[in-house]
Amino acid sequence: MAGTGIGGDTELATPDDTRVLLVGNPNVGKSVVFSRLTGVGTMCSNYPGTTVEFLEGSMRLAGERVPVIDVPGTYGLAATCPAEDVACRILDDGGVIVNVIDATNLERNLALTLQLRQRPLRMVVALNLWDETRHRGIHIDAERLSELLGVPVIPTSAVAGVGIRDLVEAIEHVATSETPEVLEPGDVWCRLGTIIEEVQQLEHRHHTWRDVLEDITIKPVTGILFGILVLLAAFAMVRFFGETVIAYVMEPLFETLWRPVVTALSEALGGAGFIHDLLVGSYVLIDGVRTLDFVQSFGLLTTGLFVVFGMVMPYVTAFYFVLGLMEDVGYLPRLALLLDRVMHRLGLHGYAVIPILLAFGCNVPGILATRVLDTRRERFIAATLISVGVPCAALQAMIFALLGPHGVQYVLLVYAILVIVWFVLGTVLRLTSRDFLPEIILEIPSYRRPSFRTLWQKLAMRLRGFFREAVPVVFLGVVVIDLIYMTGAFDLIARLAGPMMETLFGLPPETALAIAVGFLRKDVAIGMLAPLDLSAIQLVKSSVMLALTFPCIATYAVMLRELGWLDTLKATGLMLTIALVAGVAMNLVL
Amino acid sequence: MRARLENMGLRPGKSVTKLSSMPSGGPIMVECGGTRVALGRGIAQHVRVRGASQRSESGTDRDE
Repeated sequence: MAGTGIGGDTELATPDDTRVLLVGNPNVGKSVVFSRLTGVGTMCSNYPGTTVEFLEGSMRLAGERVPVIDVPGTYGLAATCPAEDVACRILDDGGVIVNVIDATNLERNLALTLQLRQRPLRMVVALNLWDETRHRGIHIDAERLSELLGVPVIPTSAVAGVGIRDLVEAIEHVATSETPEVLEPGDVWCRLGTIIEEVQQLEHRHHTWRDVLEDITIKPVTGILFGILVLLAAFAMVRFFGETVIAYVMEPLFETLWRPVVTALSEALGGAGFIHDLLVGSYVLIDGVRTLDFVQSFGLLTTGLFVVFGMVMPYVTAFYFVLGLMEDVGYLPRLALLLDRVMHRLGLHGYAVIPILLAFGCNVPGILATRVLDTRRERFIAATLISVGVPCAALQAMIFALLGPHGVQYVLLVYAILVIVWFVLGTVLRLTSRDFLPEIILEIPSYRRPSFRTLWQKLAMRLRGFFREAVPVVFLGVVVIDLIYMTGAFDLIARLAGPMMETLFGLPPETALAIAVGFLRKDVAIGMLAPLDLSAIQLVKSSVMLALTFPCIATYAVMLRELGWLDTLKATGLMLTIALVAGVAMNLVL
Repeated sequence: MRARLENMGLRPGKSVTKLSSMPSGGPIMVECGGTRVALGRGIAQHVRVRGASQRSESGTDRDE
């Protein structure tokens, strides 16, 4: 069953006719069916010219390996949003259709099935979530449904792996047979009613614990309390996992296994020089000892590798796991519903909460995730808000370490100021953009038992994406900072900007250098503040300034790629303005 | 918009149940034919509901 990514497979003469397309409404367990059919080794692609992603894998069909595509979820064949548009375009390119439908919600799902049946397509219907129908007192006559639709209907429970073998057989059969006759055009809704009446019987349903949970999570008061609990638990899990892995796995690995290698390389290169500083970095003084430091030396093989694997990856892995869990259980749409009103004040929809949540781990995946937003304007606002006002896990850890000893009230003050800045900036963005923000229409799926198979597959895919996107950028960032350091530009920045820091913000001139370094790594920059002997209030001010000014270079590069030059410049302008205003305001008020 | 709602199962003549409503003009959540959907207040205002019975279920006559 296992197969590898199939991008650019040239073996197949007419890949479009043999490939298998999984089509269905959102939230019907399509991805679980996909992971059952394809096993490991999938890849995530963008449909050419769009930002809509879909999964691609392969399966063995009648002795041959054929591509399988998990088409973005769609409610109908008229494109009403970017994801649906991509779904329609993939369908137009041909293939064998596996229409995955939710057996617990036959009526809505069959609307798409009937629309598909009005096209000349070879197709199989997978009646998924079949096991759920029993708990809910739903009886469906699958054979009769198959007769009425004129295509095979296979009951499946993909999470448990039930019915997958039958489904594969049916796909094989359909793939080699003639295209079934198209259902004559007619009123889809009318026919839908007749079919439902004939094949489905409903029993009276008892109130289950799921209904109770449902009620708690969507009513305004209890829902918001529940939401806060879920988010706190998520943050706690991510921090716990991230910190544990860093302290007990990554740091020991780097110190015991990697340090000897780097030290030997440093000696071989003569301990200094251009190539040496680029690869290994420069020696720094830590507690009076001249040493190579994985955080501060800024070599490709020291800081470059350590930032990716030792600092960011553990948090990102934990974040993706928790997020995937919330996704698969079906909680995220409810969070979007609860927060829609608040997000509208910032010119965003409720579901922008997903990228923003992600950004609290690391801004890079957060900004990448803004792709889920429908309009360009929303993507711009979300990316700007993230880069300006969402401190990543590394930055938060440093703020805690630096301000914690002065008292927790100072830590809270930093967060409070960030929240204020956030809402001011969000309001400005909302009022200045002229685009129309369409209102939310969002299906709230039932709570589901997550499939760990799918969770794992999704985690692996997202991590691969993270490495592809982030690693080159971090390496580039390290090279750039090395080159700037060598030209002495940082000293110049500190000398030029220093007096300004004093008069405008009431901070010592040396903090300018920290903020300049913050462009590359925020956590490193905050570390630079430690020896300056600042007062608690000065630390609060400089922490806020660091959080508000440029995101780290990795985030910046991703922004550039996602938004383009013009919008990135606009975001930068906003960022500098708001940092300036906030800095002066803090100097006057605090 | 209408097509999207219809494909999601919200069609004229179906019965809808309001499940929840966010304060200060936030979205409302309805159930219709087994599907739960969150709708922005503005869209929801365009959904005309006819003849609610005691159990707050009602026939609808939707009008975009």
